[in-house]
Amino acid sequence: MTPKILSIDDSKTIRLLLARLFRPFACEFMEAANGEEGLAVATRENPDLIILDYNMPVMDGITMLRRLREQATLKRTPVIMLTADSGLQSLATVARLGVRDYVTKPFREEELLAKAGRIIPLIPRTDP
Amino acid sequence: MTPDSHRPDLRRIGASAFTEVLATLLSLPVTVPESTNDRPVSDAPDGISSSVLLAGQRFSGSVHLLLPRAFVAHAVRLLTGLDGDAGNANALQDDAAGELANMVAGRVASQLAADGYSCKLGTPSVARSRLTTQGQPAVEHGRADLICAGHWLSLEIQCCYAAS
Repeated sequence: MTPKILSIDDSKTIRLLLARLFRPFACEFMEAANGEEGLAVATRENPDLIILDYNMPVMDGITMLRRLREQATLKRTPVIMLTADSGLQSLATVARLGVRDYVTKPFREEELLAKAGRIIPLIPRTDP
Repeated sequence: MTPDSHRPDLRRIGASAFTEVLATLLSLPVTVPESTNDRPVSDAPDGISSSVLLAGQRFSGSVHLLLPRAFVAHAVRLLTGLDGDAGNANALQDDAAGELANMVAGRVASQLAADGYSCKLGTPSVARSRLTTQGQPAVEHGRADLICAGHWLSLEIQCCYAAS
């Protein structure tokens, strides 16, 4: 089974960046543009890793995370928080919600890959 | 009011945040121009302006970037691998400009918090125009210009300090 990665970010640029970043690896990449959409995709697809933006319209990352943890099947889904807001209050909040790791924007691509690779296997694709 | 001598150096904070974002995310070197007279005229009119509001108890303000469209197209190419200058790339250019402002504002907010001025970020807004934020009354400004990948980039932080 190839791992499923769900990127939830209101910035299309970031979603495209992450899609490019994970393309060399055997994984299924999915995306959503806000927390509400992300919650629907997560419920349907049961991803192995969620990369979640903090500050989004419609439903922000923290609200989405709280709703995610209310669902039995998604209670322990690993989440990496991606945030431009490095305030201590934000970090304390996400830690209480069981976020596995966080990356502060701007980030180096290798940093995010290393953190994702500690949660899911990142095996280079063999297909062309 | 906060005494002037204790207020953050907005220009320094802005230049540092902007440089960090460009170097980390895009791996592009940044230089500080020796004089604003060096500014190439061709870069000025064709710009994308992106802004993020900052709101805190002791400090409220905004971070504005003015980026030449050609620079944003280059950034889109580097970040996504897509042609950032294609005919239908306007929405993606605007999104990238907004995300750059979001990241710069995040670094600015982090530095302001370290100086005792905690604030939260708003959602980025983008316009295709010149940077037209200077000269508003009762607002402090810090402006920084940078040269990156041959383009002239401008940042401005505006703020009001709460009475203490």
